[in-house]
Amino acid sequence: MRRGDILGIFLVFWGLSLSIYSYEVLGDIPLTALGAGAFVTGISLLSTVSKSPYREAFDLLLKAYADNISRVLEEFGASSRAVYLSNGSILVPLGGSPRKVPSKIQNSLIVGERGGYYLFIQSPISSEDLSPDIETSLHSVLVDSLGLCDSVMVSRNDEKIILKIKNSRASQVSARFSQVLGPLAAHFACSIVAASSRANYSLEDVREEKGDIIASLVMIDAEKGSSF
Amino acid sequence: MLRKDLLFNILLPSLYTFTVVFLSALGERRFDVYFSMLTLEYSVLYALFRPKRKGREIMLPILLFIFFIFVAMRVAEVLGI
Repeated sequence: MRRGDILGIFLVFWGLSLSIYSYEVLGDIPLTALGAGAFVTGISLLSTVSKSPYREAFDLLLKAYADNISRVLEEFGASSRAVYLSNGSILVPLGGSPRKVPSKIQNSLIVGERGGYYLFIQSPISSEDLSPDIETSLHSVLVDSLGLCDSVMVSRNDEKIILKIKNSRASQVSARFSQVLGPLAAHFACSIVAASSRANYSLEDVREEKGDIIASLVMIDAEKGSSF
Repeated sequence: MLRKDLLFNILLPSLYTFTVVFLSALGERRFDVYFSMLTLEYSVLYALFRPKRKGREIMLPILLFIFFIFVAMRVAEVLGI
């Protein structure tokens, strides 16, 4: 049993005892209120999620996802920054700088046409459940659902978006993954931004500062509702 | 525990303690006044931090329910019912 639960149980019983004793025996209202406050605090501690029992399995799944993607990127020698599409998929340019995003994308690993081929990767982020507001979506997925960071701040300037992911808890990824897709938390954040805003974005720059990740994205194609 | 959840669980008892000490120093002896302040502080902190709960949030509806009972009793007292 973790320390928070022990403290919570103690506060619940202590608060209840103090309230009842103060009210019935001492007739002291402030002490009764203090006991009630301790009781409420104890309940709050007991009902707060410390760590999901599936956290370890989830972390392993994420790591396996990152490792598998890294191997594919390594095999194809991908080194350019990825393009995050509005439908939750990701295009990694092969052989140099990316060209215009192809309008039709087949459901295969390598897509494109002569002069511009891409690796086609599907991210775990679905556009169906996301709010059109980027900050709400980022907070809902990264902080509330996945617990990958403490908070996300968004700064917008025309077609550029800068994200500051505070205190990222995602596991470390390979250098190749980080170079092409960004650190894991930034990778998911970029997918969420593209899916939420229904636009395609390219990861322009990523850097890490004292546990925080700062990523800048550029909108590359305002075409919405592309079908594959 | 997420930082916002930790902050919620630290600020809550801190505010409670401060409120009880402050009101008792003013000589307040009505329990519904203390309870109203506790409910208000819990509601404000919950709205600000939205702590992650195991299942649904139960404490806030209970606190609000009891708060409204106190309000109803006070209104009845004023109306002489």
